[in-house]
Amino acid sequence: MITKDKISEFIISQLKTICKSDPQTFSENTPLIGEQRSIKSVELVELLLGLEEYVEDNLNVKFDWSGDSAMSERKSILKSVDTLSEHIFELQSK
Amino acid sequence: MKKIIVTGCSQGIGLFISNELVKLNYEVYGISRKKPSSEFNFNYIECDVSNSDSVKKVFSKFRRDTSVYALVNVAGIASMNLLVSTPEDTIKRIIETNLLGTIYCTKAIIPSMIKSKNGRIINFSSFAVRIGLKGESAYIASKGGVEAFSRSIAKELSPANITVNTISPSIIDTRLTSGLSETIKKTIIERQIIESKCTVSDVFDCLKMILSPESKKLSGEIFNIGGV
Repeated sequence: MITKDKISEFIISQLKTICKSDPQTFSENTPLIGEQRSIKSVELVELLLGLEEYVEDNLNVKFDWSGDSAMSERKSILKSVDTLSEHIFELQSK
Repeated sequence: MKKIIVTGCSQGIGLFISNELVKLNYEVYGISRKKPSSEFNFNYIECDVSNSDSVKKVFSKFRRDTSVYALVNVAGIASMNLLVSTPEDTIKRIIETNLLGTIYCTKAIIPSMIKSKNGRIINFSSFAVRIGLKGESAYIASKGGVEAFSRSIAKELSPANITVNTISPSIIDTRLTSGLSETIKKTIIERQIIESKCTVSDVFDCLKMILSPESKKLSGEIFNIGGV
């Protein structure tokens, strides 16, 4: 089982790679959607595609990030790096 | 070798385009419900574009593939009929194939193109949208939808260097236009800027132009073959 911290580390390293032309500091509190988000929507999609492969290859489960509330600031698993890591961590026990 | 996926490859424009793209050294994957009606030289995959599960299944093999350069959404059906005498099932099939099929295939190819940060999506509309051709209201609604969809998704995908354009051919001798009388065809051609009948080769020339690297800044456009 991969720890939540490891998943967050992976997400942050991915964000750094994807946003290398616009260097910035990422943390678990970095918002991924909404007005306060620090990445563009296309960068978010790129992050999620990378995560999809990471989850399939390392956790052997499916990570389906499409859904009616995917972009909802209130309900989405994409609210922040932390909520996204939490969701992926929980996928392992399902 | 760059890959191109063409929907509606079983006949007409889709079949012609698929065969010609192979000659230009693209690795072509033609998808349609039925096997091509005549000789073909591309990779054929059976798929009903109006069925999202069928589309997901076929496109899943391209999800991690960064060599897909273009998606050409040609698949389309029509029914020459007055709306009042068109069965609801036919209306549904037209919208599902022409509009939803285009949307499903586009959605399914985005992951591959975003990963490569490059791509061309080429959708198909029709002259009928411009002139409001009588007896084709459901078809025109579906193609008008394709044009509006193309413009919006072009904006969504532009940061990833993916362009989305629409080719809108005038009258071409295919199964789709076989229901139109010669008089109607003549009237339509006379309304074009270039008053001569278009061919599938004209459509292919436009497609080649959109595929060329020089067209990287053309997106969200509708190319009317023959001129309107």
